Amino acid sequence: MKQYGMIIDLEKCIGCHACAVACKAEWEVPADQGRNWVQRLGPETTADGLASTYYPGLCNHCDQPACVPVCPADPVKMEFKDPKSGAVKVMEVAATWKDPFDGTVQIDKNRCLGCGACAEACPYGARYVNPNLGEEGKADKCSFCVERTALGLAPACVQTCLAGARIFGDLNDPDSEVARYVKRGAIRLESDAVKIGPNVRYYGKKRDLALLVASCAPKSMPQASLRRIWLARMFKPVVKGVKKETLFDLFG
Amino acid sequence: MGIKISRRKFLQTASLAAAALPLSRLARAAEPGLVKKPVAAPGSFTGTETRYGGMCEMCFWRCQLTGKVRDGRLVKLEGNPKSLENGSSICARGNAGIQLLYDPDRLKYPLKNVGERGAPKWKRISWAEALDEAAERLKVIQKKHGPHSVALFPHGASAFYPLQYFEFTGTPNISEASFYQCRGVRDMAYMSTFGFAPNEDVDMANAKVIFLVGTHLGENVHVSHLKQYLKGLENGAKLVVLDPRFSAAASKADIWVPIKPGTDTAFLQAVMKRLLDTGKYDQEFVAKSCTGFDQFKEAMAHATPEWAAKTCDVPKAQLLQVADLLGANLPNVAVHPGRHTTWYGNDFQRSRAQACLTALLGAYAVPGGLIRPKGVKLGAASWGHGVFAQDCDLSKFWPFHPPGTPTDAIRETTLTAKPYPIKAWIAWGQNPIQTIPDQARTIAALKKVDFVMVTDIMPMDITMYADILLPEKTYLERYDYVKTGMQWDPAAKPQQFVAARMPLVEPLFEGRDSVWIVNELAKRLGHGDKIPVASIEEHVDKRLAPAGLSIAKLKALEGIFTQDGVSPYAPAGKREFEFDTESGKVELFSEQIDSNDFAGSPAYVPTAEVPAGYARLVYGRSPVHSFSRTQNNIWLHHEMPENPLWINDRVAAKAGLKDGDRITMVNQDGVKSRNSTVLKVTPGIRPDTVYLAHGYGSMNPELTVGKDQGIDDQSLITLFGIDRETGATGMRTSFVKVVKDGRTLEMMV
Amino acid sequence: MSEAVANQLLADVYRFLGRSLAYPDPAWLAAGHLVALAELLAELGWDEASRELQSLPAAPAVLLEALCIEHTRLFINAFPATVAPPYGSVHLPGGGMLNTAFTAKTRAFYRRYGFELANGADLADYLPLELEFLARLGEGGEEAAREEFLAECFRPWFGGFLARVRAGAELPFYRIVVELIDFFTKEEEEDGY
Repeated sequence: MKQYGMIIDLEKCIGCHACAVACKAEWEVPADQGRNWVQRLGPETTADGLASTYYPGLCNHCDQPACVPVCPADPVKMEFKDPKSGAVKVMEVAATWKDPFDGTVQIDKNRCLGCGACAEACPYGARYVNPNLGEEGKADKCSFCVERTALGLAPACVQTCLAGARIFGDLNDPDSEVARYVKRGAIRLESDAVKIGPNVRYYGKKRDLALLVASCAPKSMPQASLRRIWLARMFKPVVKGVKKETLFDLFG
Repeated sequence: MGIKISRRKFLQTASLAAAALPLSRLARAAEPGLVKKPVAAPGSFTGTETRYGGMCEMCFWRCQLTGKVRDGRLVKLEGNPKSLENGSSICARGNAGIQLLYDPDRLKYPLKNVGERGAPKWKRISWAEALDEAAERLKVIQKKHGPHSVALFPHGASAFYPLQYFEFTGTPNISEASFYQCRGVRDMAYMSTFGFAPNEDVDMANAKVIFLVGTHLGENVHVSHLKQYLKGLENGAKLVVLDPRFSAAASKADIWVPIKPGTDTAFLQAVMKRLLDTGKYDQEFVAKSCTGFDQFKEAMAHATPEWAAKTCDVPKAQLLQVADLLGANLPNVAVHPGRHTTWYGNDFQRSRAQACLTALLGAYAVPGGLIRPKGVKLGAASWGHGVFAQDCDLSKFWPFHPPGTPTDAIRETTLTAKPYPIKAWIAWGQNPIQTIPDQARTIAALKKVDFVMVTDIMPMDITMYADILLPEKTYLERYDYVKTGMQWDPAAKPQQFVAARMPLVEPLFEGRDSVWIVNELAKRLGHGDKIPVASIEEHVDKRLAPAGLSIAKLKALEGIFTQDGVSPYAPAGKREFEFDTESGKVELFSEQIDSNDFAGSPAYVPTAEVPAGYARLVYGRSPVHSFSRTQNNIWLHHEMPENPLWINDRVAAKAGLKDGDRITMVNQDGVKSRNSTVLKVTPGIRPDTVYLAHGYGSMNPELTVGKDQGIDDQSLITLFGIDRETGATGMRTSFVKVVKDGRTLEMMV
Repeated sequence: MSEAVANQLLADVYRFLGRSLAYPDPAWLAAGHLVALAELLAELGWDEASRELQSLPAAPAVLLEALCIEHTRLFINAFPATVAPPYGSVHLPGGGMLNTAFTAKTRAFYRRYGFELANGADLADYLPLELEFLARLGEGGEEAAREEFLAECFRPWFGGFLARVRAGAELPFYRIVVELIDFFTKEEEEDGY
């Protein structure tokens, strides 16, 4: 089984924001949103001296994604196929899930209710609701460009990166460049309170990583609003199990 | 208004055939081509056609592009994988070019100002009307006051042809911001030293030491150049950065020298003296390829490390460490020549010092050194040389001025009519409001002249002052530039390329290319018989012809022609070179400079000290903007909506300022910033300096996104220097105080 | 009046209103465009609008100049701001861009009904083009398609455009034309009023 992941090499990153803008064009992301982002950090004094670096962020395709279990869409049986081995696995999934073969977290935009619970649940702020999709908007986030990689193309952000600072690959393959970075000490952006196995890792000078973790690691797990989830279930178009009358039971 | 009957009723009863005018803009198509649109965005790689031949102009670096076009609509720009320079990569600005193409605020049709300059009332007119009127007004001015009474402010690839034309008509009063407010100083200093302009052709990719004098790579982004820089770092090059601020480059540096602004030449002198004293210079190169060594050595003699450490406010040990690092790694040292080098009005001497240091280290035509990339020979098609009337050359007071005339000389002549009147200003792709300091004087000059014509693709601060405003095609809709060069890594297999800008999409609205516009003007001004090319396509083909190429051939080659090239390195051991200088050698001491009563070897000319209670206003680049040109780009705006003012944490604490405070500024002349910005409190800047990115704070309200976003540094630069040798504008010479909640705060530790 | 005649009449109205938004030129004035507009207003009983129209300068050259400046200011480029660029995508939430996916959707709609942009035509969501398309649909008896187009491609942005014209117009001419477009494109109310 694969676990796709990305390394951000902060020794190389020059903070040019090309990744963020290329993604906008690739996936028609609204101007005021982003599937990925770059923040400039510092200069600040750290234990290892003055530091200044960047936080190029994106969906971490976590080992235990907080966004998946909160999705209120009705579960359906979905067949996953490993393109390499041909192995098939059937899972019951809501409108977002973690792929059993490549480890990416994906969204079915057709079944997404656009409620935004997943966006609330993500401690990294990696999801948003794109109001231009569907009638009422749909959740959107970085897909690791699996649609592109399936065709042998690099993810849009990786392709445009002049610095070669974004490296995409299979973390479970010990010979991959991303795995080699992990061995060399690429870190996860996490804290004691938030340890859900992010698969984007950061590599860089000790002082820069210290600055990154201090300023950008999430400090707590956010809670998706239950009310939002309920409401979404009330109003979704074809509902199994929950009927419209329930609305009055609950709020009437 | 009162609606008396319903639509249905009206349709049932009324008869209105007389009012219906047939106008068919839609033709029946053979096949409807519609599929149900999926909910998710399809991605740029599905259902698109890849078009080649694009060349970026979001900045002047001109990366080669491909366009992903879905049904005539450009959905994404990518680097042309065939490019020897940028490959598949482009920067944020390059990626955002689509938002320029499809910006609703674009200039769409020729406009005539029927209101006032500065508060225009626009009326769309036809191209014929616009050209007739422009030509008529220029003709009257030229006839009455001579051709030199027309001044031109050009910028960008499309401005080359107009520049040549107006020079041909007989005006020397042409001022390119890219020279007089940017790289002209550097080019002239290196011309005087090495006999050629260096561009940024310094082999960082293969250097053992990269030495940046104020150059803030990372904030200053040009794709192939940054690839060279990063490869050098990856290969273990030591990075030395002189900068009063912990810049993007400083954060990657092995040695950051937080130098006092304006003292770089003193630092460089002391470094060179140290190299001379320790014998750690390339003695063979100096002996065989340089001249004026003795005078040079004498000129450096005063520059002790103690003196420089005090002058530059840096530790002596750090200065010596830098000098020894450079000396130990000669000749593979990349002394970056910089690009924007018009800082204090003493800049020619600093650039000379950088050039002399390069020579002293023998860092020429070697890995890591200053190199001269060889491209393919191209043709030319231009207007003939102009004949200037006697004594109309305003640039004569600046013997080492770059091509054209110093901007300030044009502006002052416009305002004073001495020695002669200047009655027309033409801006072509340049925004002189934000390129020239002291905006009040620029605006006064714009209001004084008889005619202002501006050609651009977007509203800019300058376009508010136009009488006639002409829309150009964007770089994605036109032919123009032809570029040649070599592979980005000089040590890789030598290759050369030729690429030409070709349109990626059909043009929108009524933009025209500059060859068409100029030719139409020329016909009306009586130069129809002298037109060198009938169209931009012919121009491009003439440029390509000597290489055996044409637009058609380049199209077949996916936009880029490549062939085997020439290594930019001299054969190992070669230390004797001939240069295109007066002496044929690298001029460590220049007789020519000396005979014009300037220092023949690099001299340190101090700049004014910061007055008590003020900080020096220093500006630089944002990686997501090309100054004011890109401010209205909604994607780029989202990435960096304003330009934070960097201030030293101790100064801020003393003034009671906090990170994130909203502030304005006032300068030494009481000029206030028009807008506010956010404060960035950091230990990463000297206490005597504040910094922000240039280009923000556009005043033209026609820029829906960009107007009044952040602070326009140029609005605060009313004290500026004029470089004595070149006439270029030094702009890090104004001082400011921060204003918060109406209180003006003292800047002190 | 038969349905077909009504459709043709509505189509003529759409065309006429689209033509009213083209950049004014002397031929257009000479062809009696304003007279036709006045007739339409009279038929509709828009008395106030009729009076406002009467207030326009009578001298053709003066009127033309005033309309040119107003047109430029409303729809092309203006200081301090262009009032209402006549392109759908610009007025959608999160818009601010020409030629977006919404524009492509509009074009796809044209194609679904057998129309393509002519050479040199403006962007697909340019208001006069949409009016032309509505006219074509009506003439072809595609009433359901006309309603679908209005719902999917037209009304989502037209309200924003209308509000900006209402707020920003200085001369009555374009405001009246845009009000008429609104009148002839908004959802029919059930009571037949």
